[in-house]
Amino acid sequence: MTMLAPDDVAPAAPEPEPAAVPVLSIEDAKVTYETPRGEISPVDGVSLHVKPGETLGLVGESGCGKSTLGRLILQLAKADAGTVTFDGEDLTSVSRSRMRALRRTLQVIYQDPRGSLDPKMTIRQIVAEPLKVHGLAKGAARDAKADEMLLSVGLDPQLGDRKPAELSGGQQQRVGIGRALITEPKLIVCDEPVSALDVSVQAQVINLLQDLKERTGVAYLFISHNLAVVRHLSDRVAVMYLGRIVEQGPVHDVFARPLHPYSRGLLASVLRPDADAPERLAEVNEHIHGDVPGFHEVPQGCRFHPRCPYATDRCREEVPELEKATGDHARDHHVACHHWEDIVPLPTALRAR
Amino acid sequence: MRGTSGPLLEVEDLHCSFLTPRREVRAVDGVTFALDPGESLGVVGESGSGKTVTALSMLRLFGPASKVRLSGRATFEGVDLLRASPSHLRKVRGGRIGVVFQDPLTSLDPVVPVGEQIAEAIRLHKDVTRKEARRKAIDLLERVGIPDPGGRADDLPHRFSGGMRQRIMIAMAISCDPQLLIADEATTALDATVQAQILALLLELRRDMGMAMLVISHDLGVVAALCDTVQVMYAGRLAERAPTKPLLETPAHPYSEALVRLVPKLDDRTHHRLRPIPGQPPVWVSAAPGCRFAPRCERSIDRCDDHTPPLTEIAPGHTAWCWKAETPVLSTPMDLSGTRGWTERDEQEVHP
Repeated sequence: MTMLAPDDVAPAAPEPEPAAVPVLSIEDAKVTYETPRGEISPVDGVSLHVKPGETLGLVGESGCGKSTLGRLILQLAKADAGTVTFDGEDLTSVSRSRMRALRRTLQVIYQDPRGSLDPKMTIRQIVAEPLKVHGLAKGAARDAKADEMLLSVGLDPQLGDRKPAELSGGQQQRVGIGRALITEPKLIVCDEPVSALDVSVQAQVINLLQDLKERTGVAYLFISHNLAVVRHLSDRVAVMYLGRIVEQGPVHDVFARPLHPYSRGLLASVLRPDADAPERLAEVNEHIHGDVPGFHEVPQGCRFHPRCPYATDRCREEVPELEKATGDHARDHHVACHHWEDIVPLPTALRAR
Repeated sequence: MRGTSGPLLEVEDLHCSFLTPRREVRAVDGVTFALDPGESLGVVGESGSGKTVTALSMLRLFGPASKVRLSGRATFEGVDLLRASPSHLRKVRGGRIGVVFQDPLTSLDPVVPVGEQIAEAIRLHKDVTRKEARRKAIDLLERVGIPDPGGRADDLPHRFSGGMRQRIMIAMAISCDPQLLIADEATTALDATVQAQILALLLELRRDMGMAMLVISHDLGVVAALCDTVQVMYAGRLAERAPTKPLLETPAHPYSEALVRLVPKLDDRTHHRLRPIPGQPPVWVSAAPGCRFAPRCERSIDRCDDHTPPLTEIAPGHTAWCWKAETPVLSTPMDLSGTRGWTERDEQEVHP
């Protein structure tokens, strides 16, 4: 789904029919881990949904809980509260064997292609394995399907006889994508899929993900710390901070008019490769202070308040809920901040256009 | 030591290869550049392009077990560091040249309080008492923005966050008032909001102390923020060198142009297709002549395959090593006549 937004009109994400049932919807989910220093909750009251054929970008800094949220969807992390509904079924209550069957249409691509491919298997075996696991094809038919998939992710089927170590990083990531796609999934959780790649190879993989989405209608939950890549690929975006979603909306709205002070600081911190960079850098630091605290020291009230230039007593006490931003903001733009309406707009230089 | 005239650092025809049992791996292959006092130079390129090895070669920072063949010259303040005595090198490293690496946790000693580590570095280079060194260390911690520096000087590195640890590394690197600060992917491991704070600190220190900087990064945004001049490396050689603005706006070498074009832009509101460079960088390079980028280059002509491109001046201070680089790539319509052009097939990674 390629879309071009004319420059003079407020761009809106392509809204798949309003009635479309989300392929994934998470309601008020919480994941808690025991650690030697006490309990931590990297996912704490998160709700979001992904519509069929849509790309939802999930952004945030390291340790904000975005990868744990990905693990929760795949049921590699257990929910302590809330529901995770995929294709009509609540994954938190299905049996292990049912979950295994559902994984046919719920796939994953990881950051480190080398670490996620079995070094002893051939490329063809790796790509064909999901067909074997789900009993979808056998023998020569399976190999033929694998070769077809190698072609469609831009790899020469002759590479099928090789082992992962003989491939470059970009090729390995293509193998990971091929393996995820071969069972015709409805949703792929992409956890930093291009972060380990050099830019020239990263661009090839980004194009591939876009093409495959257009061709197969698969939906992506695209987890990344790279905001520019997220903007390039996503229809909607959710911003996560210390285990909670602080803002969510159509990608162009959130990037052009970020409402939450954290989203604003995060966007302002992105370094643009252009000549104004030094001047902008000087301004950025007025918008966000300090480091992200750990999950062991989650602040009371709004979790962002110790770093927020606009924090008041209310922020120190009362947890802000994710609410629909009203006014002339596009529908579907949600923010969790007590003061989003009062905050002065970000200087143009620090905004994305 | 020489005066203020002339470059602070002059690297001439620097070669560095690693000798492995199977082959000689050429990491840096004939790199020449100069750095003026107070200048900030960025070195960009993808992994394996030789940007880090260039800096390591200058300081001869290789482990005792690595078999390295070095040639050329790296003249810093009048002394060729490639031929300098070990004692001179020790004085330069951490003294006249400060270095900040990517990962502060592996660069700091985990069992020594941070204040003591900085004080130790100071005492290695300057004739001061323990007490004076400690006082200077605390001043430095304050200078780089560590809250409560007097109290935190006695904490071990693991008690600090990633951003704070990198501040401590910077404090150590500037502890002896260096003339040159080398920052090798110094903010790569940091989160965006913290990275912006550290870059602002580096800008401020450079302004206050007047030191030159060599900024090694794969991120064009980082060099745009910190550097006056940028040089692009590809497969062990320089591809282009220019003041930051023309390099970002009118790059002359097809590889630099691709790097600038391929970074997804935050301000880009369309989901257009990126036009990637086919193939991937060579894993090792041969000594044969020719342009290293030719197999991936959309402008390449037959001459590129077997004749190493000469240095071409595009504008004062703007040079590129390319047969087709008489004019910046972006300022003229692309002339593809006589070039090979691309096909979708080329996107397959067949380059050895």
